[in-house]
Amino acid sequence: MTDSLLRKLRRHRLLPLIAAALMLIVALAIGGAVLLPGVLAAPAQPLPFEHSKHVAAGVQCIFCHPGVQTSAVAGLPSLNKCMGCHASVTPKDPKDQADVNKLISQWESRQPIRWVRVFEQPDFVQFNHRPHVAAGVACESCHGDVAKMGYAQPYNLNMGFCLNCHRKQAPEKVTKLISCETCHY
Amino acid sequence: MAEAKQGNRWTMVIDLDKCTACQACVIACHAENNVPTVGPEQINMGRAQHWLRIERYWQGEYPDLRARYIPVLCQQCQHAPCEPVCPVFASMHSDAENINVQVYNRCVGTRYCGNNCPYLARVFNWFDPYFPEPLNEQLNPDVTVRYRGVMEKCTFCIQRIHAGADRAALEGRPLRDGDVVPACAQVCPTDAIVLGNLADEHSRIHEFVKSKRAFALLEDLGTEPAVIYLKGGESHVS
Amino acid sequence: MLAELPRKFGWPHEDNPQERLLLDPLPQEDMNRIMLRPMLKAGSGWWLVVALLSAIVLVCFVGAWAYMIRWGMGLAGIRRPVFWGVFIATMVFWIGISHSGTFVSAILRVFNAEYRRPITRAAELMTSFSLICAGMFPFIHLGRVWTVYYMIPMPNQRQLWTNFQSPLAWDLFAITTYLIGSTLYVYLPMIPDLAMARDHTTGWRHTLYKWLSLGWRGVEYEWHYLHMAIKIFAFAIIPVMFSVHTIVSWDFAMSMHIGWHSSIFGPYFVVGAIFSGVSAVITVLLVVRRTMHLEYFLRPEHFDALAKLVLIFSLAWTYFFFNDYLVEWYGGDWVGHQLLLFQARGPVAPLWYAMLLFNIAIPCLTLWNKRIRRSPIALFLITVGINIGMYLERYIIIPGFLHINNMPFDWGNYNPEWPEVSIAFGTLALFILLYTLASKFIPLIPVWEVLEGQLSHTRRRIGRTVVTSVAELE
Repeated sequence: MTDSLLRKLRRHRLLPLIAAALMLIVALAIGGAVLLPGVLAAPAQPLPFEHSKHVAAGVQCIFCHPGVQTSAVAGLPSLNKCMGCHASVTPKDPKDQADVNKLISQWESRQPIRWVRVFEQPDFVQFNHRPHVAAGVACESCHGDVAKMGYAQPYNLNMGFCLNCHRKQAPEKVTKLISCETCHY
Repeated sequence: MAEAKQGNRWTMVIDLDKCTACQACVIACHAENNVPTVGPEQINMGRAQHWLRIERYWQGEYPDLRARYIPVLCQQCQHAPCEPVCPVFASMHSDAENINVQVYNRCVGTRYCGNNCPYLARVFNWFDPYFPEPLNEQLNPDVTVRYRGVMEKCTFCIQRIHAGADRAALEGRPLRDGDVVPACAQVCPTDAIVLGNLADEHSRIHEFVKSKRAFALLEDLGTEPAVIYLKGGESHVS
Repeated sequence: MLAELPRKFGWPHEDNPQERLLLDPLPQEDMNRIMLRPMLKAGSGWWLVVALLSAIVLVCFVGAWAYMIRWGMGLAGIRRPVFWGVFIATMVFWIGISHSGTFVSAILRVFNAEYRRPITRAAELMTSFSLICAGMFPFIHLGRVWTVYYMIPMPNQRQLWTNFQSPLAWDLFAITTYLIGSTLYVYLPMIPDLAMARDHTTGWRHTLYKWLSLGWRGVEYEWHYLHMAIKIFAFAIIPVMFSVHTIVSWDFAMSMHIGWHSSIFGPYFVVGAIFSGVSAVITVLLVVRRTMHLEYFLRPEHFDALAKLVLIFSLAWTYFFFNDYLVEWYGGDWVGHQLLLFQARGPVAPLWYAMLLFNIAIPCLTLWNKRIRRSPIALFLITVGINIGMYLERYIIIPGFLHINNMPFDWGNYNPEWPEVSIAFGTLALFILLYTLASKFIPLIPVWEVLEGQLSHTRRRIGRTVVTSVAELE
């Protein structure tokens, strides 16, 4: 049976076609496996900063990003806020003191840090942090487990991701939550 | 659908007896909603991109001739003709706000809705938007800058509706009059434009809507506009 | 002997009763050769035409479209309130042309009209090629053609679906169904002819036809199944044909726009489509007959019969046209009256009168005459005129009617700009190019059907007269 099938394929010169199709699939798979981590990798930042160490030290998310409670944007802490702690607090690991020194020299040069934005939605998406935080959505449900990250890493926040959660809310809220104009205008 | 009344019922009242056709609302709308200016050539081709325009017409014969005008914007129909014809749901009825919304990032640009709008309230982005200096410095971050090939129209300043609702929620109270003031109403020197929520029993919009001077544009088409015009007696401009 | 054929079988020779309905059978081999000779030999003229047409398609169609995608829909002349212009008018025009094939082939086949036999293939090919042209316009006229997949119903992470309420969505399904259906319908009856071509060729052509003819041997059961399949398809494609142009007319009739909002638009458009389609079949057949020397197959009586069809559809179209106009007039709506006055006196008035001339006056006054119906030059001019007239009809109905609307402040004037004219012209070149290419690969005359017709005819003596009778094959 297998023999005759193989012979048939060979007679019709279909084997090269099948081989080419298989190679294409394998190439796509390998390409995806190689490229996708790159897409989701954390972009380089101007100053070494590790979320994990700050979370481990007991710093809450909203301590540095208080905007989430009252406004659309979370906000990044100013150098002032960084120095509020780092002027007196020394890192647990003495090796990290070199990084903190960079922060201090930045502070002394009176130049703000130009962080690279990680979570950026297209122009046509209007996102508001406040109602999400008010509804009790945990930060890590959209931003990933920041406690294990150095620099913040991108998270796959596409429309399906939003809708999957919006559809699961209370029925009287769903009408508004899945309505187009809630996010797009 | 007119039957299913849930959520807000945004209604705009335009008092034509108060309107002086000063066009401040047109400018405010351009500024608030990132509406591009298209230049004299395109205007001559009839491609002015105003979401809100003042239509002028004449009444009477020469010696006894009167200028009349009416601000026309998207009427936010409850039975909107633009909605069923869109193949991709880019023009759709919002059940939450009961207005007609246009989803720019969904629009593929068939322009069918534009043909089917009896009020010609819809405008198309024929080219990429162009904001000459210094207009590029004043774009509103709360509103999408539309790209070429999509339809757009008045949204009743939905970004301000959301901002008002957000503020009310932050303060832990229901929406009330004054929380949402669209750009055109904000700048109107005679307070001729008022936006209110019919779902709010205390809104002053109720007394306007019940006025004997109230009418809707092209009422006989049965589109159930959410824009109500007030007009009675002689206008002060003749 | 072949060299004598054009002289021997050229027209006019209708006096000879033997000539009627191809009752002068040639040996099958000779018929095959008449068909294959122009296919296998490509002269320098053919190459020149193909090169010229390819250049036009490349520059006028591909180039202009790419230019428009890059800079925006604004390069076309459309403006508020005329949001649809030449693109949609041309799309409706091509869909109209596509009705020829199915009508001439399927309906005449179902009704056993004997004169259809040599012309079915050429007409069916027109259907497929004009649908290819028409099917591109829904893409061309989109503001953002790169998001066209939003219109296709398929699962996606956005959890959004196509709006099945929209006539444009119906359009997409109707045109796709019709394109697939009509392509299958042109392919099925082609199989025996492809097998014939396979048996007469060598080299790469032999390989090509070997694949295309699906191993056809011409044994009894193959013929049986083929006839059954053709019959099923002929019946099935007819409702599809009616639905396609009805749905295209619904793009307009389902709207709220004055003049468009008419319950008669469905049949009006279908009749107009068949009218323009049958006329186009005549035009194309005349060209094919002349350039490929197929005078043996395409006789004056075929054109005579087709011209009668054109006359009937001219009258039917006239009826619908005046019905539409009269009802609007009688309705007494002010805006509707302005629309009627706009047609008769506005900027489109010259086109409107030209449309009436080409669609009503000329065909109705000339096609009564048998000599005109059998004169190739007169028929060519009349049918080309009808297609110009039908294009004008679409132009007046689509951008023309949009000039007038319920808001008199915003009545606008639309003038086409060069990119849209260029793209519309480019699809005409594409249509001719496809047909020119097909003439070298596809037997344009279904030889087996002609042979079948000849075999089923007998000449019987009834009393003193000799009559031609047609035996039912099944």
